[in-house]
Amino acid sequence: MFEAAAEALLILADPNRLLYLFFGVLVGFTVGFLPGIGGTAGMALLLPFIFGMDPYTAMALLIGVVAVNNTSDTFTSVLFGIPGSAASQATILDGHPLAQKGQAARALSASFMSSMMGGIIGALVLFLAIPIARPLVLSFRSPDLFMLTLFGLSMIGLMVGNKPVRGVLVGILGLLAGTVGGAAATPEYRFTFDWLYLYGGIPLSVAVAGFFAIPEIVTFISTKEKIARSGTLESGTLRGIGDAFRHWAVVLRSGALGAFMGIIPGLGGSVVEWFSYYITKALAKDKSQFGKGDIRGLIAPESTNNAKDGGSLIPTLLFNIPTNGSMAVLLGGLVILGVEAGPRMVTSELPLTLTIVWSLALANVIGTAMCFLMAKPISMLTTLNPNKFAPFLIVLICLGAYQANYHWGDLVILLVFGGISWLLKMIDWPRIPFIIGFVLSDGSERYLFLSISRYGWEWLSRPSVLIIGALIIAAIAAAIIMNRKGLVQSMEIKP
Amino acid sequence: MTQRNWSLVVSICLLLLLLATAWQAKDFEPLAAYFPVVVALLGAILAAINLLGDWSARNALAEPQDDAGFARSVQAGAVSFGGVILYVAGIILAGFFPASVVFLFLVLFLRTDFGLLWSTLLAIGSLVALYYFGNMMLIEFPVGLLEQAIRDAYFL
Repeated sequence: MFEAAAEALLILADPNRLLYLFFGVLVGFTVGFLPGIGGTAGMALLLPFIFGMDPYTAMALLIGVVAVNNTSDTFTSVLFGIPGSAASQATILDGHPLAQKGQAARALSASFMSSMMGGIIGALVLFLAIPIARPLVLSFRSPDLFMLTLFGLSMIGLMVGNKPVRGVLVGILGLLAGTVGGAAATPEYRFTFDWLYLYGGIPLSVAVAGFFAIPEIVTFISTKEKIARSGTLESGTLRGIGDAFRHWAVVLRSGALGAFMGIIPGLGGSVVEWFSYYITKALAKDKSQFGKGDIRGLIAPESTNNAKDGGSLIPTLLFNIPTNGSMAVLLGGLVILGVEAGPRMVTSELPLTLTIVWSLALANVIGTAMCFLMAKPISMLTTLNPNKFAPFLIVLICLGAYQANYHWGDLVILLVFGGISWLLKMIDWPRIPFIIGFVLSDGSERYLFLSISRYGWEWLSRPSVLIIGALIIAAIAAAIIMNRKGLVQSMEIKP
Repeated sequence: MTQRNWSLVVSICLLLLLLATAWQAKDFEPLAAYFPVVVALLGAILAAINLLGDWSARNALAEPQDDAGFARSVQAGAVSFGGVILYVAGIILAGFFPASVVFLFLVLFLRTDFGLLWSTLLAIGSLVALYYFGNMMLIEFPVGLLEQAIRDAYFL
């Protein structure tokens, strides 16, 4: 395992891959500090460009976006009290009061440092999980894999907050969109309307870009409102770094909590962050300053939300279960690269899995360094009119979408999906389930076909199938209970 | 139209779409048909449930909605989305670079405080940078119908 890890580090050390990792971090950093775009849309923006790349380079690029997004979203949370993403809501509670006290630089640097430590803890947990999960994953057969895809689909219920029917409905649309083109079990082309372009199916990268990037940017272009009115930053950076080290126990505990809670699908960054915040507050001797600018109230959620990514990658890579929107897009990225998540990730694709672990750790370090370097200019950028950068993003998305098939159909599909998604956004319907359904469509149909053709209906009585079936029922029951109690945070991208 | 009514219209369209999908899928070979038929029928049932829920919510009118605000944001979004559609149509007709220059210039000039000179310079400058970056990364740029016709005419 350690030899494989060293080999993976060598793979990543290629200057070309490091350059792509850096570029991914740059994109993740940018979409992080612009409220409303978020990591899912950032990854959607890059997904079309991974065609033709080797999986190591492509994953370095995508992991770069995921890893740093939760670090740079701190800028607007601390400076202006605007959550950069859903996962940075708890950060505002103590981060913004610190900025109001004239300690913005201290708050930001403590937050960046604890985010980096949290991210490394998450990568470590992912690394340690591989040998533990390996024998379990390798024992899976097609019926188990089919049940796992169903489990992934059942996660939709946990992800859509108080609109489970609409969520599942949108997920079903995704499943059906995934059936366009060649059938999994027989040489027949479905829903192609005699359009040759659709014979190869709908390109995932175009669907993702249309569904997540277009509506957000259209919303940006529709308004001239600035993200923030002013961007000022005082001194205190070293004090903030010292704070993160002085409260190492908070960082360690919150990081471990984030990594383990990240494994649980559907919880979302916001829930995990608030949970970490309240645990830190509950364990603190002096609680009087929490909510008024206690540095521990900032360090805890920030270490948690970066560590969560490492945890989220475990079910995504090893069990083909995306735990949130970004993971669904990452899974889509693997599909584009011809890599199948699941048992292969711990056998033939083990170097790739370990490269992802290294990419995650390294991206956190690079992202943190970038945050420190760019703190001052970024705080000024948030005062820009969105129309000054949004049209450039539209140009990039269209160019990216065209890379799928080099066909004008790519652009038409981009518009169709963008239009549907924009409409769903306007009427407040959940959109993430569409991509989960779309990504899992092929696998669920293929594994069901293989299960029936190999085992008849006897596959339903396999113990592993029954166990996963029980887990699915438990997940649905949990979704109902959590929805009733208002514990589930919608994963929608909301400005 | 209010958000609730829009939602209702979407629910009706979805129900019809899913029923049409199931109807079309039943004509596929059995091995290709079972999955889309089952999924579409399940979706149709859920769409019907959702439609009933939307209908009762519309009649109940439990909470007041900011209809004017919603209409404004839909209108603004529709105009912006229309702009994106025109841009894509421009790419298909004229090609990536001519359409992008016009699109960038118009948005920068009309929607920001950049003047004529800065909007022109930014639009052209960014596309020149993108051209070199694209060539370096072996990115294929969309060729428009008119562009293709000119290339064919002059054997480019």
